[in-house]
Amino acid sequence: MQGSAALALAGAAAAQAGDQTPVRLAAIGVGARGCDLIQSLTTIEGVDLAAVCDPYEPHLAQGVRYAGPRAKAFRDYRRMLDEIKPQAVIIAVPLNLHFQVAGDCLSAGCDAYCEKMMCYDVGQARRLAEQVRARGAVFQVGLQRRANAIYRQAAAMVGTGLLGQITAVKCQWHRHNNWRRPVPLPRDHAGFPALERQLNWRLYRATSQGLMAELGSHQIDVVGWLLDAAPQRVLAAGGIDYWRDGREVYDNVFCVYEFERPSLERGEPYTVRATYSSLQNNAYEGASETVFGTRGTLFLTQHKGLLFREAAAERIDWSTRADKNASLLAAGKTLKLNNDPWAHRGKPIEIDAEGDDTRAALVSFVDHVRRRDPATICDAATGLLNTAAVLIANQAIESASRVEFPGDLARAAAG
Amino acid sequence: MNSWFEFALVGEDEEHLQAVAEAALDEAVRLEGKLSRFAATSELFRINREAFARRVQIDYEMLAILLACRAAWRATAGYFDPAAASRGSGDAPPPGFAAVEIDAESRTLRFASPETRLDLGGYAKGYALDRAAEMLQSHGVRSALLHAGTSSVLALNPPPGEPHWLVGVRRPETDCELAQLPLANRGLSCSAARESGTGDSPSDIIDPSTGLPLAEQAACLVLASSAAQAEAYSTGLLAMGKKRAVEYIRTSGRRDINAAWIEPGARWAEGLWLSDVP
Repeated sequence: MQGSAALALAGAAAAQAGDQTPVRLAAIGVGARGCDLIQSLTTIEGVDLAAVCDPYEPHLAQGVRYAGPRAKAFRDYRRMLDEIKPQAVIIAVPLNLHFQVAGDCLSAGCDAYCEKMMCYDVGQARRLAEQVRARGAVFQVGLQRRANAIYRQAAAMVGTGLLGQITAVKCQWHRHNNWRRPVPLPRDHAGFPALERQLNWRLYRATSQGLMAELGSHQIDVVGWLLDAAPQRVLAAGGIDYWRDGREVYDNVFCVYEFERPSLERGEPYTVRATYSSLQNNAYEGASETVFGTRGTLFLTQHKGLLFREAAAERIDWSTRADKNASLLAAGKTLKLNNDPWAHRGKPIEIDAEGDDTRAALVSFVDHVRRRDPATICDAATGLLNTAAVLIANQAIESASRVEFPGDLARAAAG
Repeated sequence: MNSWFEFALVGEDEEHLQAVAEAALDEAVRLEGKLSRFAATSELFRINREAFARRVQIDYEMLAILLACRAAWRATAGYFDPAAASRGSGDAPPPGFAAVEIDAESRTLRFASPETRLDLGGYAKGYALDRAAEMLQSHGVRSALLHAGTSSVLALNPPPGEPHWLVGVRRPETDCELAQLPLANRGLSCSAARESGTGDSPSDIIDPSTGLPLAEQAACLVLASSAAQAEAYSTGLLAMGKKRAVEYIRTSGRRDINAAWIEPGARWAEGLWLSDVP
């Protein structure tokens, strides 16, 4: 797993001197996420957003509003590729269409930014990664924490041993909503069922891999990045236990991933277990990753990081005179312990960052396209490993068994 | 903004209403994230950080928001000023919105002064409510009442069979209800100079002509056709003080805006409306 150079985020400012040609882009799939991407793109200098594509008229209209009058609207992305011939595309279509759309764009000679998960299944992800490699294309998966300064700092902290030996990781994304998008047709309208399936693609198996793909992919990628490893296997469970509204994907999932790491102290490998849970009817814990190490704990969210030190006995060197004469100071009043249930954590070091990570991810992508540099902050090889890691969890839930990570991919990750 | 958004939707299909409400709240959260002066990840933060050093490229939505703010700034002779909270240098009042140079053609802006800071606190909540209402209406929800932090309210159609929504107005310094206003398809915004009796809580509304927090204890309530307009004018009218506000309402020719002035201790009376008809 390749870490990316800090320079990768230098952005447009680091483009070759004199290279002012705007990068010609097109957006394919302009629902809610696609529109967020378009808005960010229109704030990046050196970007010419020439087209927006979506077969669904209301989304297309909104995309055009955000992209501006110079962006041409298309219902069919293939026609757009023929007519506009963009340098690169930004893909935010439903998951089951990622492979087809990305593949067509690569065949047309475009670079591509593709929303996570890279593909609906591992077979597609393998083929797409191979296409990217064969073409030397600049390809980036939309796992935007890779561009987030807080996470990049966390990766450096873990990598330099600040947390000691990593023991375990705990991730969750708990929210309180039904994940449904509203359908702007009356229920008794003939077109309602098809439109409902289209707008709520996240809820149906033919088009979605559920919570693990939509939410878990971000966090499983963070774990793999921080541990610099692909998982070995996973145990998982889940069900539809609350939102029993005709959806086909789980409304709660729980996983235990096992990663193998070389021991810092003793040399032989040991297992790091990473748990993941996603709930949709309780938001108390929110979204975060907590990395537990022998010397410290990192609590990470997109807006804030906290580093807590572990209370540890220190070796005291009594050899100097000053130490031998040291005494315990006694004072009149008894110091009381804090009643706060979190007091044992101590005061954390706070990690802050400025800037929006989606925008930073797009700035980085545009920069790589301009420089023809395929080593993006989250490339197709990483996207393939991410897809495999996510999908073994779904398999584990389905089969009620432990599922191993694909051997050849594990070897490729380690190599 | 950091406000509590609450939406009440009326209809038959609960699952549909829930989905529409979630989508509308997502939109409000998106805008809060984008327009917050405090969140280090917001667009506004990025603009404030960079716009003195260089021209900053902004998106179409931000451009539209800033142009609307500029129009309200001009219409209120500078009393609605989203850059009023900029720190001035020395004794001079801060440069305010005059130092914000917007180029609509290139979709860029820059600040002429290093002290300039944009604060959309007097506009963003209303704007968010208007966008949320659009989302409701595009999904067939026509009867609803939305508010942000209780100080910005947007009423769409009243519930079936009712002539209007009823919105209670609370005195800023107490929990006492001052009046109940009937509202239908209108925006309402209340701005108040904060209670300064205790001496340690200055108003968060700045008088652009001095650069200082408002000294006069008062509250201004504005009705307008949109929540964004209501909010901009309640901020601007409060900042201009009652005398100028009365003059403004009488002479502006704006039939869609009305304001009521609330002084500490005053009882509610129809005479509080600055124009003849509420």
